[in-house]
Amino acid sequence: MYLKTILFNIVISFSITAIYGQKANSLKVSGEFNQIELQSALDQLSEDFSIKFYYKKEWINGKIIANLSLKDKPIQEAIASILTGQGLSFIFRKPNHVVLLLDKGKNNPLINISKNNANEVLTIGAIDLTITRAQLSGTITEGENNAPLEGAVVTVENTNIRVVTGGNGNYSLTLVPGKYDIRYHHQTMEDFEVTIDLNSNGKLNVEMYADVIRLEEIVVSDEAIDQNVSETITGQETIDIEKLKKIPAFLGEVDVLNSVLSLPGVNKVGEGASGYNVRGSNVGQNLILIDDAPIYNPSHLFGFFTAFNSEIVDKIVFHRGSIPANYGGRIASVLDVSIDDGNKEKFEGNGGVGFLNSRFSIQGPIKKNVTSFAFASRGAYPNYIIRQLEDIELNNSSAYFVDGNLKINHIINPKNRISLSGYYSRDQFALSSEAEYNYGNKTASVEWNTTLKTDFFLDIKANLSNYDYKLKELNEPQIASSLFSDLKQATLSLNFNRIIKNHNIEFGSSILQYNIQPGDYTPASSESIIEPLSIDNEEAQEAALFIGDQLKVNDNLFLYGGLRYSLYNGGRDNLSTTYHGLEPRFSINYRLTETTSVKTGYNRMRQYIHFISNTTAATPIDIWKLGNESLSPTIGDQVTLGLFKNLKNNSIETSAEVFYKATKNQVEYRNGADLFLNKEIESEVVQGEGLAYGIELLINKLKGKLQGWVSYTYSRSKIQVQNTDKLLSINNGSYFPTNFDQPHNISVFGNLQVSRRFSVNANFNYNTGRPITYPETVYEIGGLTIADYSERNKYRIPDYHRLDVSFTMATSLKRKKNVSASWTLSIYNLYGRKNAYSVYFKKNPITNEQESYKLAVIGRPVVGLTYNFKF
Amino acid sequence: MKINKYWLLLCIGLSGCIETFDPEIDKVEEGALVIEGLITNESGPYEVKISKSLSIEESGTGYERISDANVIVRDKNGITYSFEMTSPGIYKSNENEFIGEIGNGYQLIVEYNNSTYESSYEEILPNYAIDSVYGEFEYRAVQSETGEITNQPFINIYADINFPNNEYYYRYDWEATYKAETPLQGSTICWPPPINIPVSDLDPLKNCYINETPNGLLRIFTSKGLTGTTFNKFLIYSVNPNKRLQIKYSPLIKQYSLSAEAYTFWNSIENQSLSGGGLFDAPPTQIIGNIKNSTNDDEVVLGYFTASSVVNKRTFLLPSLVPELDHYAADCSTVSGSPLSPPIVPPPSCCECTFLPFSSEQKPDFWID
Repeated sequence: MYLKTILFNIVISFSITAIYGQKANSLKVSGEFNQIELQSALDQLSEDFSIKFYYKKEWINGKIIANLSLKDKPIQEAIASILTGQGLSFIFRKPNHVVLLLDKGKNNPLINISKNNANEVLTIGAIDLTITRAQLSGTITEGENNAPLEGAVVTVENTNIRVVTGGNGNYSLTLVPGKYDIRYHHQTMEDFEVTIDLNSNGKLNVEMYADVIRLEEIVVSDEAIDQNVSETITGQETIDIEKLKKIPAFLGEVDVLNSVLSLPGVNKVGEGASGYNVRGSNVGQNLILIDDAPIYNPSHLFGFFTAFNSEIVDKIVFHRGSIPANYGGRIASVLDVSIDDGNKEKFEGNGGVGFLNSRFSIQGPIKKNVTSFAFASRGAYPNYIIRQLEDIELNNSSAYFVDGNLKINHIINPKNRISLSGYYSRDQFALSSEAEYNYGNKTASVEWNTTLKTDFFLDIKANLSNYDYKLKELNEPQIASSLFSDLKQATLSLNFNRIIKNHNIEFGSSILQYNIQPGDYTPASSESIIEPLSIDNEEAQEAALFIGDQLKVNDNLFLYGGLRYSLYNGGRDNLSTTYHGLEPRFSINYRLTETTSVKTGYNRMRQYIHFISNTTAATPIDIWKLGNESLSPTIGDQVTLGLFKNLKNNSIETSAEVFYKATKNQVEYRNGADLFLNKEIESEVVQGEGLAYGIELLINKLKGKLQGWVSYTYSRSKIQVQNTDKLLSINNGSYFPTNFDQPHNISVFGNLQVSRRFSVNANFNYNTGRPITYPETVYEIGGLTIADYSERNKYRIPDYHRLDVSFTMATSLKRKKNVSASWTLSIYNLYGRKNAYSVYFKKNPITNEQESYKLAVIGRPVVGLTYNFKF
Repeated sequence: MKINKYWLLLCIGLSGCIETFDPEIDKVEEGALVIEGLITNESGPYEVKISKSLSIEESGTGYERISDANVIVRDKNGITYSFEMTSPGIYKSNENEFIGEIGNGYQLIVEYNNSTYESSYEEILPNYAIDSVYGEFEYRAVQSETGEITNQPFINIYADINFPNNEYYYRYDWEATYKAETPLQGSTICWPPPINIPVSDLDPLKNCYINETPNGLLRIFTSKGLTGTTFNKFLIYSVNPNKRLQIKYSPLIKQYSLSAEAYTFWNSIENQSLSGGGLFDAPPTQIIGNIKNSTNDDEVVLGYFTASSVVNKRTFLLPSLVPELDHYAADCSTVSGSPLSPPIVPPPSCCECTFLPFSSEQKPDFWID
């Protein structure tokens, strides 16, 4: 009827310079509206001015603007003109929310919004003089895609009432009927504030919108984001994906783990090492979840790329302090990555093309506002570069990886939602004709969110996760072999969430099953005389019950208390070994002033599955071993204490935090351990006492043309392995530094928005060199010179530091363009420091002396150019 | 770990990023005792070497030899055999008194500096004949440190080995002899005036026999995890065939039986020598053998006492194995750059084969022409 092209009749002119730094209500609108659908006009205003309209579809369906001419009208007046005669009025909320009001609406039992003389008050519920309490509830969603928003804070101003939404975005408040200012706040969203007149039980659903660059064009927020001081749970970080995308990345590929690595207390043993170490714990002590399903190898190409495709990541939450009781199974940290639910209203896609790798994603509705999907895929193809290298072994080598995500989200009815998510990754590399590695993750998860009562919610989650690898060794045909290993995990969990007054209680249970094929060794050629060998499969079950409560005691005191009980059945002989125990967690946030708080926390975590590696960095063929009679669970206890202060109207966050962590039964390999295809792997490892402590300092500037952070960490990580058998002790049973003990760590990141199209980002890292074992003496037997390595990790490789920069240039900012695109030029290791990757010793055949060499993997600047597009 | 190699290659391919580096390492004043001994079922004398390890910064300066030790070997029946020091740090048995027997167990006992160092008992395990030893020629692409790739000739010496129905552990050693002549044998061109060698002393038909032994070979084998009872084409070593295959080359392969513990020890040494110390390598650790101080458990004693049976297999390789090779021409050219200048005087080893290193005119007993 009304062609979309009519939309272009609206000519909206505005000056770029005038907009920057202005509030939306001072924007000017010009345009001709002739037989335009009201819906279209609002959509267009919404798009051009980043204004969010709130209304019920049926209010405006079929309504048409007959004839209207605007010239340089302030936006509020313009909206008023547009709505004239439509039976609608509106309220304008800072910074960019426009709530439409139906002038004579009475037919909405849940949201009864009417205009009163204060012009900006929503009336909720019918007046009922018999009640003393009324409940306000609703769902907070992300306006962009209608996905429920977790972690949104609903505060009743001037009271101590405050609730936080769970995974389903629902909230519920019980209040004495009356007038209140309600503030909706989320770390990555623009704040939203509304005044309500609560008469009786009612519902108010809120859509929140991301605080992204697009909004910065017209909004200078004077609303504080005070997450730093207000977050109750210590050590919890919600990672800002927009900011993450600005961190210069190796070859321009946005790295989700990079953002984690930039946090104080998180480090990595070297270039190309997969995984990360959190507060002195090993790589295998981090739980990494993708839509609740665990990922056992988070890296591609040995750590240069991460398993996550940033294009489709919706949210990243990282816990390293007091980990909430609903998480368990790893002692150091939880990285909880959620995938986009998909845009419910329209199709959109984006992608990037680089020299070595490309990515693509698309999302959109299957059934508008009901069912949506998101799909993303990536691949790297370094082969053509490898083949051009003038090295005889290398140019016969090959490497690639691919990965893909698919998520489908379906809203069954307002109380029920279901989502399915899948992830697949595969890496392969072949070294000349000698060896071939092939490995990958697969996960599938399903989640059903249901609202049992207005303040009582249930999430049922089930997932499967699988990691497998195959290593083929082919250099000698007679002993050509293939080693296959496979790990499967199935999990079912129930999460209840009950909101009672100022309590936000989560409780539930989970059960999971492990099945591991530790190694299936077979001949890999017809001449091979290798004897096939299969190590017995392992099986174990882990169950847990948990309860946690987030409580606001008063305006200044916030508490979290949680308790988890975990029970494990495993062992060599038919699940004959049982371990179990309690895992208490708590944290306290005491607000000294509006902008200063002190937080302290304690947690205990138990880990039943062990990561066994005798290499400095994790490799794709490292071993996951289930606890059994001779391998006790690792137990980690951590206490933290921190001071958090926000400055300059919350635009600068600062924090200082100390931690102390003691780990029991930390798994360490014994001297000379042989882990390859070992049936009795327990005899190659020893369990010791881990100890880590440190102080972490952070200054983070969140607003302005120049944004970024500086962090400094001093921390130590040590382990003691004592045994009556001297050969099983390490360093005579005294504490020694772990492979990842890097005491000083500095991380600096800066993002300078030079102009609207051009930005410069820089990233600097410094850390003390990792510990290494050097030979102190040499000796000779059998005509061979042998280096004698005495004390483990007594020395350190040279300190590591590196500067990366990137430049991003957007091709066009015209809003009408169907495709927006940008170029990113990144330079990794700008000043080309030859950071030591390892130091090793070899006998010089001429001088007969033992000589030492330093190997630097990326000893020069690496330039990457990526083209990114979005449609 | 192969991944390491990948990184290493990537690194070389991208930026050539290995450089010498001098870390500061604490100087060790007093090295650890290093004891190495081998007895076999072949006639002796057997040798025990005692020395001390050396601070890494002093490597290459020579090891301290221990000369005031008392060395004996005791067998399972309690019979002891004493060793006499023949040169600093080297102790030898009496070859008439002591020959090892398969099935017997032996223990090394060293008394030194008021301590007694004892090895565990090592049994001489049986050994099985090598079916055959043979050589094969190949051109192999070799990359020099400057990145230049050249095809270089090699002969690979292989053995077909036996291990009847059980787990066997072997270590290999070799020695080789080749018959050589020099391209200018008998010519006086290497001795220009005023050096005058009587022509009668120059024998143009003279041949020499040159012996060579490996410089630190470590080649070990286990049948553990293999099916069948033979392993064909086990590579023992590779050498450049130039000069060696001019007339005839004869390698002798020596196969030593090892205990499982001895194999583990040598395997650790092998792994360590292959390790690049990278992120994907197992970090190296101290390798402890089978000798300890019987009164002080905390003292570190390095080295190993081995008892082995030996099987030998010799073969002769002929020049037909290799395509035409340039045995000497480059080294012994007499052609100078310009026709006017006098001919270049080649080194004496071009005119007289006894000047070649490790050379002897004496034809060995085993030599078959």
